[in-house]
Amino acid sequence: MNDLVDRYVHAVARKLPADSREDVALELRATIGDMVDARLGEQGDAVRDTLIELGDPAELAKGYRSPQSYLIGPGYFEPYRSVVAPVLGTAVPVLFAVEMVSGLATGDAVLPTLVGALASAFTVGVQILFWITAVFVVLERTGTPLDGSEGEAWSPDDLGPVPPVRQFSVGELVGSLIVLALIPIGLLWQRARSPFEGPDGPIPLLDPDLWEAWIPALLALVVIALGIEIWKYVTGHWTLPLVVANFAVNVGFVVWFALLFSTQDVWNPAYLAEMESRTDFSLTGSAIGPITVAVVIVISLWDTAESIVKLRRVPSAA
Amino acid sequence: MIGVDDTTLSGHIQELRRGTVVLACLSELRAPRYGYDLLTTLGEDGFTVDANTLYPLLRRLEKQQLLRSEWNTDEARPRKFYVVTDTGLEMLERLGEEWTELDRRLRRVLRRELP
Repeated sequence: MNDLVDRYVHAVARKLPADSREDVALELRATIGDMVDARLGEQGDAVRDTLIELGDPAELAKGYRSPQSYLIGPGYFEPYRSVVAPVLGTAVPVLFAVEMVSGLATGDAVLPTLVGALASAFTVGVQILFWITAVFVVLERTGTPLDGSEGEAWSPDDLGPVPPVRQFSVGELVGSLIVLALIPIGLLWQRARSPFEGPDGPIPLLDPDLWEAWIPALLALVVIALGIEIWKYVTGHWTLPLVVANFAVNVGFVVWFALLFSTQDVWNPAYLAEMESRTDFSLTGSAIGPITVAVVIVISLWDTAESIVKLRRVPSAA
Repeated sequence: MIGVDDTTLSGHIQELRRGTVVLACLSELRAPRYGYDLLTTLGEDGFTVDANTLYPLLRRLEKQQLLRSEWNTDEARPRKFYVVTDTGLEMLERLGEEWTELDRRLRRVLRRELP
């Protein structure tokens, strides 16, 4: 029977800080002794019932500990969260994108680049999270005031201005820029890397004739789209001119893709020849064209619809 | 009680009762008592406290120097008893006054006719 008591007392004591451990253990034994004695003559196992009455040792230990110990307490948790979220949310995707782009632009294969970029992004993310957390743990332990004004009373003069309605985040801007950048990168990449080698080097996927007019036109669209993204961010919210311009660019992309796939030879004949002779696949008559056009249409419709909806949400300028 | 939720109710009741246990302890411990005896006495007086609430509370009060503890090694097994200190007595008096005052004010508020 004593064994149960020993185990219980040990279970409680080990959760306590070292300085109160022995003391509490002694007192707990005495208490249990009293409670068991009081149960003499009752049915059942006195020791067991007493321990059940005392409850989960972890809970009991919690009761003995002085005020809750947090890694990052209530006072610091909000600021902590408001720092971690944006920093991680910006740094990790940006890093990932940079790694992807630099890997692809130097002509590396996609899969290893992707894996490498993910691994990097993860490692960096973990590092950032750790160091920010560590700083806040120190702040919590030392009780450092956060806003630099130690004990000064708040006054209405401390109020900042209401920020204008912000519909676009930095993350969105960066994301769009990266996606748009993928187009020229992709174009360069398909020139530099190819599964097939020809007399002049790797055989590009796209028909070289496209470079005369079509691809420059695409690049022009990309530049305009980039400009619009930046304009969007700088303005901070949708405006009618922005919506119209955005719509125009979307239309431009749709038209470009539709016309390309319906009137032009998209694929490089040399590439097609190699593909047909070496593998069982063929690109002629494949659904890539219609699918691409459909995807572009869907994205453009969505983007335009979203721009209109958000435009209506913007409170009229004061 | 149609709308009242049991958990919410017991939560608020616990809040109401919390301070009173301290007052009761300080009062009962004007005479030295073993922890367990205090527990049973409080129970008989209608202050139902769990053992796992009371003992940490006694420790806290001791840390605040409102109580003093000693081990009695005369009996078969050592037992700890608590007794109120002079500071504790003073605290008891002040808290008692505060309680009376609170009671008075609250009665007034509860009795008040509202438009």
